[in-house]
Amino acid sequence: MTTTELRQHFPQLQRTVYGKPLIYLDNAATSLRPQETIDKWTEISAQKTANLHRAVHRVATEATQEYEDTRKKVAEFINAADYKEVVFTSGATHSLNLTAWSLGEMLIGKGDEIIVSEAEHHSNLVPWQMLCGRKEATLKRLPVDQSGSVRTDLLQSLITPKTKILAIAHVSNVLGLVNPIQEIAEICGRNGVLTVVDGAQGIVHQRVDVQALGCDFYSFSGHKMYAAPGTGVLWGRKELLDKMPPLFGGGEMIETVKWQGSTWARVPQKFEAGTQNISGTPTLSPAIDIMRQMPESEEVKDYVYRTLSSEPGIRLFGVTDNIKLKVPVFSFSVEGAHHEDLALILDKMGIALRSGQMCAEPLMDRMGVTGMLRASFAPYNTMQEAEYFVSSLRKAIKMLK
Amino acid sequence: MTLKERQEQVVEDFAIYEDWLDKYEYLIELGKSLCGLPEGKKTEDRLIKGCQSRVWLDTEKNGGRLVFSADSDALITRGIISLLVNVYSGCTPQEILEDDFSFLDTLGLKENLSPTRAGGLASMIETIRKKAQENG
Ligand SMILES: Cc1ncc(COP(=O)(O)O)c(C=O)c1O
Repeated sequence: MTTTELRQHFPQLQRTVYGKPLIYLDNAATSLRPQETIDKWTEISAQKTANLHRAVHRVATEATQEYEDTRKKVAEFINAADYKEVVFTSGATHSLNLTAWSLGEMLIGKGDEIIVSEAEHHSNLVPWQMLCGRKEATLKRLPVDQSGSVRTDLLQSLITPKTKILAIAHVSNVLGLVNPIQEIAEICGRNGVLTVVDGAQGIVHQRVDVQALGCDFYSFSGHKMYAAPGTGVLWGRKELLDKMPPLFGGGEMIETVKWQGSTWARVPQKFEAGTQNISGTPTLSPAIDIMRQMPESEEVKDYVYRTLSSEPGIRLFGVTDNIKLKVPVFSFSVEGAHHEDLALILDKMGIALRSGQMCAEPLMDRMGVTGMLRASFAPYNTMQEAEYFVSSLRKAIKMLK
Repeated sequence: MTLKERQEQVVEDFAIYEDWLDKYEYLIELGKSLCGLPEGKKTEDRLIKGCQSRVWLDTEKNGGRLVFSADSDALITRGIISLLVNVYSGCTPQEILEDDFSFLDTLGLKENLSPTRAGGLASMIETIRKKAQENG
């Protein structure tokens, strides 16, 4: 599919703001939805609404089929060894909290250690802080260097016999840098440390093969990968999921319930208590279909990277020698101009982008800034949009001088 | 000029600009012309909570009237607080408490700011009213 063809699938690209065409460069926050996702949601809402698994009637069978086919499709998409390793959640935040709570119950005790990288989204930091607070465990920081790259070289020296878990993003939502998960998981594996990967950004831009990555858990949200909001995935190794206790108790997650106590269903149902997101989760299927057809041109990314990294007065975060290891997520600050002012002015020019701390306060502290501006691109963003962004940014900077 | 007159003046000035980019330009100019606060006065207790950018408001009492000065690290915010300072500095606490701040609605500022920004504006107003109450 060409970019022009792809754009036809996203109705929101047709809209205007303040009488100007909308230039949507906040894709790392949430992607736009293709018509196929909207249609799937509508189709299920209009024709296939029923509660899953529990009923024998026709519509329930169809709805269950949609849901379970999607599980198989996701499993295939990330190359899971078994579709039962795919747990549906409400998003990456849910997946990560579930992982932290459940792993915590299973293997964290007083004095144990959890390593978290310094560049994490709050969703992959706060649940670990909460766990450490609950279990009197220690949170250790895997630092980043001045450009924001994770100091993988320090990992081995941080690991002690007390270290149980390492949590890290596949791709940072601020820096756009791809972390060497394979290498990290290999070091962790050798030392008996579990690797928990936050794939919220990674799934969008990388071909993810969880078996090749070698990690133990991989989490992501549907709404950043063109599916409906309120959908998400936790992938985990089956032998671990089998042993982990459930976070929520309720319908569907049980095998038997007696007054004296209950036993749990098998995975993945054990982790899917309550009525599922019956209309939303199946939209992951068309989302995956369209992702597979997206153009792979890196022209826009290369242009924006080249321009922002050489523009006087602009400090681009997440610079790298190897542009192949960066996704089109560009966070930067401008000398003498506040990120909020720039975002407000660009908004009036029709450009949607993000300003502020981007849910990564420790990283802001490390970089010595109170906030940044972030432009994040999707395959439907065109070269013209990128050029308009750059010229608008220059204009906005001039206004503030 | 009375408080009412100052408010009308602001509304009039603002109405000249049709395009919101031009209005921003005007706010930026206002922000630049605000003399701001010395570093020593940018303290935690002068910080207005609830704004994305940092905004400080200093209040002094002069013969029964309140004298405001302010600063911010973002220029548009500086323009907005400058606008408020220009209007309300020199008022008695009584005048401020009796005012309904409705001239801001006429400006259309609230609708044109993002929700977090509009929240910031609300915090600025709240702080000015609180200062009037404390000194009333
Ligand atoms: C790297 C990363 N992790 C986690 C999240 C949280 O995702 P969600 O809010 O969809 O649960 C995000 C989204 O902002 C993210 O970018």
